[in-house]
Amino acid sequence: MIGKHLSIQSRLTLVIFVSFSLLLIITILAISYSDLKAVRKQTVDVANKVVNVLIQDFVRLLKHTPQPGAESSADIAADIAAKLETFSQIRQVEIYNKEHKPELTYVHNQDKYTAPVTLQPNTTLIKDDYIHLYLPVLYQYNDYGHVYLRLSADALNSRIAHYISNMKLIVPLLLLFSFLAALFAQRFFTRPIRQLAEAVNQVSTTANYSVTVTTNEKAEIGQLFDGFNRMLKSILLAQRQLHTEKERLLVTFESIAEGVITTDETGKIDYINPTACELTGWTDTEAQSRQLETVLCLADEKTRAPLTGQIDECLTQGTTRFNIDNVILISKLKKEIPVHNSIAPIRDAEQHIKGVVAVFRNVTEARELARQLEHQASHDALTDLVNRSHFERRLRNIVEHSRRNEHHAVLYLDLDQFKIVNDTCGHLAGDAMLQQLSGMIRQEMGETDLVARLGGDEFGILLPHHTIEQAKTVAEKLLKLISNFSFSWEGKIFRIGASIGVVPIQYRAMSYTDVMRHADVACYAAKNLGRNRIHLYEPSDTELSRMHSEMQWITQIENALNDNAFSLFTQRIVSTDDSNRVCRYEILLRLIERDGTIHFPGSFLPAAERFGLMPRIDRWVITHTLTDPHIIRFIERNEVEININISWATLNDDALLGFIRDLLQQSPIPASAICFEITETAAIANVPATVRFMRNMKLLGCKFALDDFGSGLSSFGYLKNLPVDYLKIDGSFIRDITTDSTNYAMVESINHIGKVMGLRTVAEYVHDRDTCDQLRRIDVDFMQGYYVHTPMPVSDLELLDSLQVLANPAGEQDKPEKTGKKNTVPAGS
Amino acid sequence: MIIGRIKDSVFFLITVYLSGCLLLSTDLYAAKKTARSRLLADTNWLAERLANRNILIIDVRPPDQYKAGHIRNAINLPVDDTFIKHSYGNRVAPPVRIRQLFRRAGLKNGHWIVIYDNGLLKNAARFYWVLKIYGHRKISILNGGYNQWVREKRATTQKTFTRKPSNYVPVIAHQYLSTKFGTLLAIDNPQVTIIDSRSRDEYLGLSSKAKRFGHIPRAQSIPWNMNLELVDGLYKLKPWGTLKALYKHLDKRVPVITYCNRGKESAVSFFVLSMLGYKVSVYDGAWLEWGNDRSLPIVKPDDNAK
Repeated sequence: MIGKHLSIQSRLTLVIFVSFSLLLIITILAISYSDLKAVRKQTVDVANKVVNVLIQDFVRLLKHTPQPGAESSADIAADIAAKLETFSQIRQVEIYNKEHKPELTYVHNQDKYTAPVTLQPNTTLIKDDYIHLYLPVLYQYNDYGHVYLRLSADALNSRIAHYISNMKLIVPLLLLFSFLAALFAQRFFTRPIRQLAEAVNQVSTTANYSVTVTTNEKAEIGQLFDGFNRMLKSILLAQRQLHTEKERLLVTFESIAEGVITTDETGKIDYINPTACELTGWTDTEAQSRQLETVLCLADEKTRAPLTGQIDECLTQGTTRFNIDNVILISKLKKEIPVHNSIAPIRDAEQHIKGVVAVFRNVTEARELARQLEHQASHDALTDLVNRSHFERRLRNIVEHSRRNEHHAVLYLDLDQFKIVNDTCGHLAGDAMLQQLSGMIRQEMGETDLVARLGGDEFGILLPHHTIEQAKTVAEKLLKLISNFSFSWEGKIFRIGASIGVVPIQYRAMSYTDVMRHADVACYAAKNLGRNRIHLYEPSDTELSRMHSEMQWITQIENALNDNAFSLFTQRIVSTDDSNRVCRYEILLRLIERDGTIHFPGSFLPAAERFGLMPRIDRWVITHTLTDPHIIRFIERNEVEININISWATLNDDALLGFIRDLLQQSPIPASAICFEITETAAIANVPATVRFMRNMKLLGCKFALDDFGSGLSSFGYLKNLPVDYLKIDGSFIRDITTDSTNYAMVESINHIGKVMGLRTVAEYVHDRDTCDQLRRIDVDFMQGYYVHTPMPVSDLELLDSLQVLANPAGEQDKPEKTGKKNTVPAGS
Repeated sequence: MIIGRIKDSVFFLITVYLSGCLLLSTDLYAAKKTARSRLLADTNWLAERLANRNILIIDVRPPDQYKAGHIRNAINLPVDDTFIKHSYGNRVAPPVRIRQLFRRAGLKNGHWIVIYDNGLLKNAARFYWVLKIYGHRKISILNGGYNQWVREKRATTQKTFTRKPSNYVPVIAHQYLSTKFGTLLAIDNPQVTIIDSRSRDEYLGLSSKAKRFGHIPRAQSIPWNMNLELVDGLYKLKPWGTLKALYKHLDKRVPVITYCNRGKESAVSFFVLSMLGYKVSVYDGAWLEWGNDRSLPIVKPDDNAK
């Protein structure tokens, strides 16, 4: 399109001009054409008339016969020729007789003979600037021959020439006229547009939106003007709003405590608030148009490495960063200020990144406070050594993450005669001495060693990467140091000693509680052996083998949990009187190896307890009990209760309650059919947790039995607080009840107390009829044991159901337990 | 661009115009120079152009004379063939006849025709006139004719030459032909000169080939033989100056009609006057028509004397 670069005016001018010119020229051509046609017709008419006039002469020539006194045919011919010559447009005439022989050929004296054009009679042809005619020589209806005429189209040509010469004058005038007309029309039409364009131009250059444009036009132009005015008005409004918003924002930024810096898309600063100026040490004017990195120098608190790339990353990828910890700002004067900062991209409406905004806050005080709190939490206030919990955390970490070839050691140090200082000079003196001593010890120890005050006059020292020999050397050095230490207080001089237990941490042989316990024991041994000495804890061979077997158990238990190699057994609990009214079954656990070997809980539970696997095992048992199809079917058909053991470790699991609740909701087994057995020792170990658990479960309808009651010997008082339903008397009392009168009395009193408290009692380990009889005599409510029922897989429950076996078959009587261990799942220890 | 184009075309037009003028002027000059010599050719001139195919030499003598000897390449077209002979006189043949004749003889409209007779010029001039009234343009007459040619001992031949038949178109040129009516009108028109080419005796009515005696009213007597002179026993046209003097009393702007008895003598006068630049025509009916038609006025000098 040629008109692309032309203005609307030029285009309009061009269009109007061209169309106007075309119109005029076409009109002129049309008039000329019709005129020329008329002229041609006129010429032909003249020729016809001439022929008519001369027709007699033609006939005379054609019918000529020589006669005396008459003119010759040459005379006639000359006569005709003379006449024809008066018509200048007649250029050539040929007269033919009937035989079509030319009788006369005439050519105008200014012309040349040309061969006649072949034509039909009475037709006209314009060719080569001539009009050719072919007419019959008709006279009084008699045909004498034909006449051919060639007429000059000169008249025509001169007419055309005339037109052309006129055109030469007229066309430029017309063009000029149409150009002027186009110019005028264009101006008329484009005036509002130009007005609008000027207004737009003015607005865009001066940014003054308070302009209005006016026009008399209605229709589109009017709409355009109105629309323009409205648009400007809304822009003005928006601009004012924007300005207000901006002001508000600026004031906000100026007054907040956070430093705010914004940049353009190249990372150059375009705004910095006073707080940011204050923190960075740059003034507003200095910071303008500088790169953000130059002004906002962020570094890692520990390494002092500058945090570069965050701003670029933000600019290029639009990632938002929050640096909460360990960030410092290095000001212009190289002052280091701890800060929280964030860097976020500024996006426009199309989500293109138009810059970044960096916000940062001085967190010097907050971070200092946090540091102090942290320190306080992990350190002893008196000696500034790490405290027990921190020590245990570190120890646990080392125990759990030590590798096969790593050797670590723990010293357990207990001051001798410290109590004397306290007693004679008061706590102030004791504290002062502890401070001095701990300072000394810490000085003596290496960088990586951890010295902790475990409480009172007890210190723990963790020696990572020390063999037992090295640890012993360290202990000896410490012992010597403490022995040589003399503490003077108000003129009195005290000398003290220390007993140190040394424990090696072996790869996967001990849990961290073992380590602590062993260390304690070793220290105690050292004290017992005469104070101020070192005792090295050396596990005996049996202990070592036990440890190793436990380690093997751990892997086996974990595999069993994963592969469901555990199996549920059950043992019936019956009432001692013959009514056998309520049937209850205790769920027991067995581990069955691939070769069919059955392991009793007594062999693998200690290891599980020691290494913290009990919660998982308990959950496994609860889950499988509540979902086992045999148990479900059995409970659906019989009014029975199911006893499930829960261990001490599991009770401390806060999520257990929710876990059981969910399972119960999904299981068809009613909660009232479930009775949880918790050992006495486990219940006492954490009474509040136990009570909370029991109360919550009782709300669901579950019952509780206190297992192994009597073994703790300290728990009558607790019974009042624990909402239990059953007391299970510890089996060790029952076993010898027939022979040992003390046990008999024990059982009797426990039973009595239980009855008094409204509890039902259960006796375990019932192996023979005598025991059974004794229990009946004492009036224990329920009994359980090989005499009553041999444990069986839960899948046999349905078999039992069909047989309606209610009592123990007699054959069971001679089958006492081979091992002395309990066949129930023990809980706690 | 448009301005450039206009400039170009203007320049082109000026160039064309100037060159056209130049060509035309040279052409006109050449035409003037050759006008005289073209009408009257001498033997030398012809001898040089015998082989020119654009020149057609016509021997207008009777066939027997042609057979006896003629100029090489000359065709024979006896002047009497262009006549239609009647008892009341000879008249030029009508266009149909002339067309047939010329085509057969092989005349072409573009030919430069050179005519010769024995030298007396009467036949040659007559043929010249026939060619003129039938529109031919380029015609010359050999001065002195065949006799002169022979006198100069130029080569002759007895071989008959013919040309291929042509498409000759005779175009009537009425201005060289005066009719009875035209001549009658000229009697009362002082703007027309009538010349009697017959002998003085015939003009004076002393003798006549027709029934009546005398001449056409207002006719002047300039006998045809006054145009000729006898040189070494052969007739030739008088020199240019002499001829000019002979007719100097005539106005060149005034048309001239010549006549004689049968149209041959008047043709000589016609030729000479044409050569001198007069507007001249021949009254073809001649005295044989006029003298026999009693309706036409005549003048008898005797009557004038009376």
